[in-house]
Amino acid sequence: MTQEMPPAATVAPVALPAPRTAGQPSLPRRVVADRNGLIGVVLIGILVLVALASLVHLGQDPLAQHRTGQLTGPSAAHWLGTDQFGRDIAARVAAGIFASLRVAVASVAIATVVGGLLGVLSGFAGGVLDAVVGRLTDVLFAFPATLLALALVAALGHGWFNTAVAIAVVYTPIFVRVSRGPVLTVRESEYVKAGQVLGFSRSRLLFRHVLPNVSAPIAVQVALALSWAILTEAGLSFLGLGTQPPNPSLGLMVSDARNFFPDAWWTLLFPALAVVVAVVGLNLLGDGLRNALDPRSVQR
Amino acid sequence: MSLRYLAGRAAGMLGTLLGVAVVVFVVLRALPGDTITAKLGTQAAELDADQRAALRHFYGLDASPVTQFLRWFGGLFRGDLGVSIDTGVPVTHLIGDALPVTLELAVLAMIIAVPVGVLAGMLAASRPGAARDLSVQGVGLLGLAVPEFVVATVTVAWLASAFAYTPSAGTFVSLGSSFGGNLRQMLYPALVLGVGLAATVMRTTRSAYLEAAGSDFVRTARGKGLAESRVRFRHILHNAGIPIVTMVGIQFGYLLGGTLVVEQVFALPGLGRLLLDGILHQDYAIVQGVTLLVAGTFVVVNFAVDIVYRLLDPRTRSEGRRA
Repeated sequence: MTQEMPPAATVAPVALPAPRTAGQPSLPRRVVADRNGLIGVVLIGILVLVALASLVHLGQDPLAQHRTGQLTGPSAAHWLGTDQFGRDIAARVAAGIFASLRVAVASVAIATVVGGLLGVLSGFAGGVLDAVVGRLTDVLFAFPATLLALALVAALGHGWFNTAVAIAVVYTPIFVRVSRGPVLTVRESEYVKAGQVLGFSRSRLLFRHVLPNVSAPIAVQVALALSWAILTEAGLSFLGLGTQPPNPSLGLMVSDARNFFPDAWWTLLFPALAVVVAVVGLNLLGDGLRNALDPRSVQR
Repeated sequence: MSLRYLAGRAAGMLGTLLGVAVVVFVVLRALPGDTITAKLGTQAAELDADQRAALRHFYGLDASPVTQFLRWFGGLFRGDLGVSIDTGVPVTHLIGDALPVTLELAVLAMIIAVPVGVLAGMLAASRPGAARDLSVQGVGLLGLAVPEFVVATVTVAWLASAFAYTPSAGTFVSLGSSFGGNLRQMLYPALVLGVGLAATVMRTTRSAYLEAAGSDFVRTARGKGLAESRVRFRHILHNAGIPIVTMVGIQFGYLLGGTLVVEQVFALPGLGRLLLDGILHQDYAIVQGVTLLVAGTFVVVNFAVDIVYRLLDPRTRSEGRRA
């Protein structure tokens, strides 16, 4: 798990976009117009469809064990083969993708809302709140991300939501920093000054004027955070600290496959491939978002 | 760099360290299960109330949380991290045995990854958008996206089938007892760690190199007819050095806490395995000790990187002097 995107380093500088002018295509269109963005959208779209398909049990039950046909390779009956208990790998990978996405989306949603709000509030209000939030983020940043996630999972216990909370705590300080910085600039802008002069309430200024204008860097960070969350969830499950058997999880499947590789290569390849596709897709989507939001950005 | 700046940064670092200690203590007190139950297993059910109270007193679990924290925190200054409830061995001894393994692993991974990453990043940045750039970037993205546990698992399986070698903790050869034997066991785990690391270093190098390559002094250097290799290494890479050094320093800190998967798969008795065993056996003292050590080291390394950064960059140095 060293590939963990180092939190402090992923706080990528994203220029604040110019206010949207008439005739400019909408954000989703601009993301899809970017080559990386398009590939990212397609990859993630496929994964989401596969995950949703697992909900309606298209074809096979991911938990059904079979006395015969264990560890058979890909065939017409089992597209991606079977595992040591004769369970259908395709169904298990699909259910595993669903489990990964569920943890990733929940954790990033929590981190974005809590971290984003704390960052915007502390940047906008300054003073004591800013100082306290700043110190707290410093302390959380002092832990290597994987280590903190691990300690929190140990403390909170198993279950997908606990895993999501642990990952969310690790990622919250990043959202605090990413959202606080731009607020300092926007706070001094003329449209916010104008709003103050017009006597708008603080909450109206914050939610109607400041927040929409700092959402660009947050959006990019969401894509990167999702990819990190998927890697972390898979890593924790691999170590036996995330999803518990017999529930399907991509990390757990790779861990089980250890004993049957390389003979039964399909038990390892397909769950691993699912993680790779998710992480590559989200990174490309993040690139696409960054390019779409910042017309000046040269592709680096 | 003024003394005042140094003192300010050092004070900030100490504050963060204190915060880290509090977080470690608070989070791990919330660990599920009772330590005594964890220690005695099913026998715990046979304890009567007095025995239970005596045990709680013996382990200091009957004191208030604040007293427990102060006791634990005071112990840190005497180098006392507590005793493993599972084995009765002092945590400092356990860490003393495990730390060298993890350190060696981290250093080896760095030795492998930094040159590869820097050279690949320079290669990619020398022609942005060209075939070499896209392929280096593609490989780099794969290096980041293929989870370490997959690379490690495949490597171990391959070692087993090709050389009939299966790692096991019992046969670990320390660096002191046999250099060659130790290196044979550490090389593959270090390579696995190096993959993701090289990809990260490559990405940082590429963007820092491009940034520096676009500056005026590079145009001047080319204009006065310097050899291309001299421009690349002396002028561009030298000026791209700061983000790279920062990244490498941060990554080193992460490595200390991030060797867990590799240690687990390759059965190396390092800090990561110690931590995982502590978590699985609900052995508070071990988990607290390792987490605190790694986070503490991380804070100190970041402090050191910040200082080196200022020494490396004459601009920040003179600003410091003027202040």
